[in-house]
This record gives sequence, structure tokens and C-alpha cells, in this order.
Amino acid sequence: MNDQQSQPHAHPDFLRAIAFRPSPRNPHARLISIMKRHLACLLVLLPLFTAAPSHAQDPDLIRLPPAEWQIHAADDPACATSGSTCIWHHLQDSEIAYSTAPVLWIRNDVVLTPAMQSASQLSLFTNEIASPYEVYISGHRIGTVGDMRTLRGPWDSNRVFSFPTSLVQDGHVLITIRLTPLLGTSTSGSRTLLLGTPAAVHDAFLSDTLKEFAAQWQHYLCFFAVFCVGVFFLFLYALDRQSTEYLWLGLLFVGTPLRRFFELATLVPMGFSNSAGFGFYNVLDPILFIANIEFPFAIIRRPVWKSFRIIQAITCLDLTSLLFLLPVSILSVRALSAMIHVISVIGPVTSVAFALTPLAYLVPLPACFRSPRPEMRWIGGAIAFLFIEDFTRFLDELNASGDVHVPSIPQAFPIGALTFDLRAFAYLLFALVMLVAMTVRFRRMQSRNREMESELEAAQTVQQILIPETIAAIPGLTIESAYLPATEVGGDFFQILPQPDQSTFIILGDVSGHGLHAAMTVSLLVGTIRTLAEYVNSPAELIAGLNRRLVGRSTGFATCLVLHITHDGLMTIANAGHLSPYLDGVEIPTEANLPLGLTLDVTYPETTLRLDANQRLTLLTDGVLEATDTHTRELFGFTRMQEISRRSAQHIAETARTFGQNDDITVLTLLRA
Amino acid sequence: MQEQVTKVKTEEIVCAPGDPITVIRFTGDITSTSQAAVTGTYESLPPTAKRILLDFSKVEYLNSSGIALVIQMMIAASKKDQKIVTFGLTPHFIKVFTMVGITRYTSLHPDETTACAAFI
Repeated sequence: MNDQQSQPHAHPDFLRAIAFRPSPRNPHARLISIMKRHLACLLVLLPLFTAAPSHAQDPDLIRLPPAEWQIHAADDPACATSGSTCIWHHLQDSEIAYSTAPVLWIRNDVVLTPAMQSASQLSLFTNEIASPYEVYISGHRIGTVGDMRTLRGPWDSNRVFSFPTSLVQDGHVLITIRLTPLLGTSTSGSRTLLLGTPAAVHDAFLSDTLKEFAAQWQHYLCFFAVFCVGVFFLFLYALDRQSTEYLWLGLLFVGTPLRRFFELATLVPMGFSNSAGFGFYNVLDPILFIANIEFPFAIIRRPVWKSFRIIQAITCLDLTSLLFLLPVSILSVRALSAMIHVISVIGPVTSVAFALTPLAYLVPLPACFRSPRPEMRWIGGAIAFLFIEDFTRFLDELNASGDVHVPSIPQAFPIGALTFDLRAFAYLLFALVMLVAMTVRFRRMQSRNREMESELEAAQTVQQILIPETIAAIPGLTIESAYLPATEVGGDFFQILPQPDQSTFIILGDVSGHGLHAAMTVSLLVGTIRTLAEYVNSPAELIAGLNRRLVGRSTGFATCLVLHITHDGLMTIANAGHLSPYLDGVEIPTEANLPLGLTLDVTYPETTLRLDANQRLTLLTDGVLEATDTHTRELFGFTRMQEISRRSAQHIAETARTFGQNDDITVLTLLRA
Repeated sequence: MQEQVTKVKTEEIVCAPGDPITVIRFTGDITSTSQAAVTGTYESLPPTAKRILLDFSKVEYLNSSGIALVIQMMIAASKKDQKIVTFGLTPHFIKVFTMVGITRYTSLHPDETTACAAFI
């Protein structure tokens, strides 16, 4: 049985119990216990509590800061008693966290106040000991956290141990703690251990918690507002899943305050263990660094540079924090320490990666400031501001490290009892500017998307009208067609026009560009084809007529192949920059020539050949050849096309589509009976 | 497919007797979004640039809209009596360039050395 559970006056979950127990010593206690369940309210109302009562002079309480403790860096059961032979020296900062001793002892010989000596019970509040440990009072073990034999958790640091005053000897109590060092943790950090009557310890804990909030209420208030902005951006992303910049910005604005929340959770009770709070706090780190790189690139719709991809990968290597999220029954403290030691080897590399991350914010600045859109310039300004703020913080941290001294802007200004947190306000300002600018941008883009959808629908309607749904029956000729439009409307077109003399015009073309503009050019060409086909029998004349119609009317061009086939299989072909057809799997060389619409200074020679019985002629657009493998960026190309050129139109088109469709795909096959 | 941005670098080299040769080196993809990179770069050349070398050796992809930009640039160059020589195209795009009649305006070469020799 756990020793702590055997203590009749100890509270295994003291912190939760204390929250719902009103105390006559602290008039705010009841209110605090209610507000703890409503953190948001607490953050808002914290200014009201900046004058919380202090227990500095409380005769029922003694604070035991780290500097008053002594350490014996070895395991010796005799250390629990005052007459032991253990060698003690004053505890140095971080000495426990970096000790190589498997087990060590710390002690504090405390002279009690008369009020404490007269009490029947005393309490000891411990915090920030993130490993199993045993607590002794005057040589008597009064409690254990975790299992010192197997060195497994729980690692919750905030505990209260009660003991009778009968253990007091001559007005003194000797407190000794036997513990296992765990890299990266410390004993007594921001708050000291507390010794006193149970009520005094309880009230001091509440008061300290309140002070933690009150000292930085504006900090938490700012980040709560940032969190709300983040939720708003995630909402925008839900409305527009194509715009990942809202997702990354939302994650940044939600994640940063959450990280602060978990940081707070390592100091004050939030309903889960300190180690979990520490773990979540650190797990958010690489996520935020990834988002910090993704957002600047997403806002200008550019892929993340490879150099920044490497930085992202390195930041993800810092998995130390994940270890703290493992169930405590899995790992012993020693195993955990060993793993942290191993991971800490890459610490300098991850630190460099973290330091380089803000450089990503420089990437979109030129595009933002060059943009004619005012909101983009606002976004650029906000990003530049954040970069400068980040850089000054970096300088501040360099100064704090003591290694170098560079001019920097202080990150906090004391104003009376409060501390003005420059970073929190800077981040809130950044969030608010982004909120306004990105909202304007979102509305503009939504409006533009609606216009584009409208244009797309119009273009698709035009395209559907111009692509024949059914192919006219031509005696002695079997014609198959396959038309696979790309996502956006392209410019492929074909016409099959039987002539009165039993010959047939077959025209296949591709207008460069997409959208309504391309569709209207197709419309112009098809109208011209239908008109010219009534008057000319020569493909060269027809194609020259198309060129005359297009020159000066379009900024792009159109490739086009005009084929005239008689009832006995005689084919005449004129080609304006289009892909050559395949005859029974063999590419037919046609005279190379300029596409339509570029210049009038061009003539179109004709090529004549015969389509014999059971021979297949295949015509296609460049959507087949330019199909591209998404991963390797390899083109479908001429070789693959030739290999399948004897197959059906549908097969060729589907093969190209599966390979990686980029553009409209049109395939026509002619099989002579 | 993720489109690669078109990047352009212009420089002057002396690789053949006579006036310096202006080299326009393209990188990435050349598509309808490359108008500034292709047309803009060509139009920014000084009027003294009479011998132009186009380097496509680092171009990964050209679609029909990109080819249209290249043809328009070449037609404009022919009107200004500028000589254009091209190198670095893959066999696929050499065939495509030939089909669309670009060879009326430029010769196509496998590498920079043979392309320079075409100016002699």
C-alpha cells in the first residue's frame, strides 16, 4: 500500500479537495474555487484580485525556498536522521536536475514558530519534484509519491503531507526528502515548499496561485483574445478548405495561448498532472514551429522551400516532451532520464532550427508589399512587425543567457504592482491586424471565387455546346471520340462535318489558355469552321481561313489539325502546330507549321495519304502527351503514346488521365471498314 | 501537380566571335503564369541585344500556353532582326517545338557550346 494513502490526514488529491472547501482565513477562497472551474472568467476578473492577502508574516507558516536546502548526493538511509554521517552542502541551482547520482537526499532543519509548535498537526506542501520521492520528518517517513523501488510515477509534484507535532523535537523539525534526479526537472522552482498548520498551508497555496494569475493577468487576457482570433481563423478555414493559410494561422493563434495555458498548468493545478502539463506544453512547440513556417508560404500560395522543410523536420526530432505523455507505469525514472539524455544530444541542432524559423516570415514580405491590395500590405506590415518582435525577443534571450550583450528591447515593464508584458501585447496586436486584414482578404476572395465559378459555369456551357455529343454516322467509317475536360475549362475542340460529296471534314484543335476566354476563342473557331466547310474542300484553305480569323483577335494561339477524307479513304491533312496523327501505331510526319493566330505570314502545306480498310487513324491533343506523374513530374510523352496508339480512343484518354491529367484530353479514332 | 515558379536569369557572355551574346536562362515551369518571366524579360533587353541565347536546360515543364509565350517572343525577335538560338530542351520538347514551327525562328541545340557555335 502506498504510504501516503496510509496517512489519515493526507489528501491524495489535496488540490482538488482544497478548491471546494471554503476557508475562514481567506475571504476569496470560495470565489476562487468557483472560478477555477471557469478559467475564462478568472482571466477576465483577475485585476480585482491584485491585492490578495499576503502570508509573508503568517506565524502559522514557514516558506522553504531552494537556497535554504542542503543536499547529499548519494543514497544513505541514515540521512533521514540528524545524527547521520551524511555529508551535506547547500543546494545549488539545477543541481538535482543534472546530478548523476541514482538517488540523493535533500534536507532542511526548520525552527518552528510558537504558533506552529502549539498546533496538533502540521502540513508540508511540496511541488516541482517530478519523480518518485519519500518524505521524512525527524527520521520518520511520513509519505511517498510513486514507487521508490521500481522508480515509477506518479510524477505529480504538488502534494501535501500531514504529520503530528509530536515529531517536533526542541522546536525543530528535520525535513529530509529522498528522491531520484530526473534530467530537466528541478526541486522548487518558482514556488517554494511550504510548512505550517494545515489551514495556513492551504491558504498560502491559494494565495500563491492567485498571485501567479494576478501578476500576469494582462498576459493571459491577451492570449485569451488571441485564442478567440485563432478559433475564428479555423472557422474561416472550415468555410474555405482550399486556403490553408487560415488553417496555419488558426493553429498558431489557438496553439500559442494553449501553450501558455499548459505552461501555467505546470505551476498551478488545472485538473491534470504537472508532467502532463509539461508534456503538452512542449508537444505544442514543434507544431507551432511547423505552422510558423507553413503560414508565410501559404499566404503567397507558394510551396515551402526545401531549406525550411529541413528546419521543420529537425524541430520534429525534439521528442523529449512526448515522453512525459507516456503512462507513468511504462517507464521508470532512470529509463526516462536515459532517453532524455539521448535526445538531449540533438538539442543544439533543434535549437538552431528553432532560431532559424522566424526567417520564414521574410519570404512573403516582397509579395505582400508589392501587392496592389491594401489588405496584403497590412498583412505584410503585421508579419514584419512580428518578425521584429521575435528578433528582439531573441536578442533579449541572448542577453539573458549572459553569453553576449547586445542592445535589445526589454520584454516586460513594471508598472506599479503589475508587469506590462510587451510580448503578449505585441502578439495580440499582430493577431488583431491579421484578423482585420485576413477578413477583408477572405471576403474579397470569396467574391472573386463566386465570379470565377460563374465564369466557369458559362465556359462549361459554351464548351458543352461546341463538343459534339453524338457523332454523325459516316458510311464506311467508324469514328470514336473521348473527351475528358480538365478541372478548369480548357480549349480542346473537335468537329466532324460530313460533306455533300460523301467526304468528311474532321477538325481537332486546342486553344491555349483556359476559362471563358479560351471557350470564346473555341466558339469563334467552330463558327468559322462550320462556315468555311460549306465553301472549301481543301484543308489548307480551311486552316488558312481559320488563321486569318484568329490573328489579331486573341492573345494566345490555337493548334489545329484539319483532315479531309473521301469515301474511298483518301486523306488530306493540313496542320497548324498540332500533334501529328498515328496511322496503325505509326506517327505520320506532317509539315511543321505555326499555330493559328500568331501571324498572317504563313502557308499551310497539305499531306496526302490513304486510310485502307481495317486501318486505324488516331488523332489527339497535347493533354495526352502532357499528362504528368504527380510524384515524379515525368511526362506521359511520345513513347507511351505510341505504345497505346492502336487502342481505342477511350482507352488512350483514360490511360493518360490515370497517369496524371493536366489539361483537356481529346482523342479521336477513325477505323475504315 | 505542383507548378514550379518560372525564374529567369539574364547575362551576357562572349562565346563566339562578334558582339556579346545575351543569355536568358529559364528555370522551373513555363506556363500561362510565366508571361512576366518570358515576355517581360525579353522586352527588358536593351535594343543593342541582337544575339540571344535561350537556355531551357533547367526547365522542367512547358505547356501549350508556355510555348505560345516562347513563340510570341521569337516572332517579336524576328521582326527586330534579332537572332535567337536555343539549347537545353529535352527530346520531348525538341519534338514539340519542331511541330509548332518554332524552328522557323530559332535553331535547337543540345548544349551551350553547340548553341554558341551557331552564332558563328
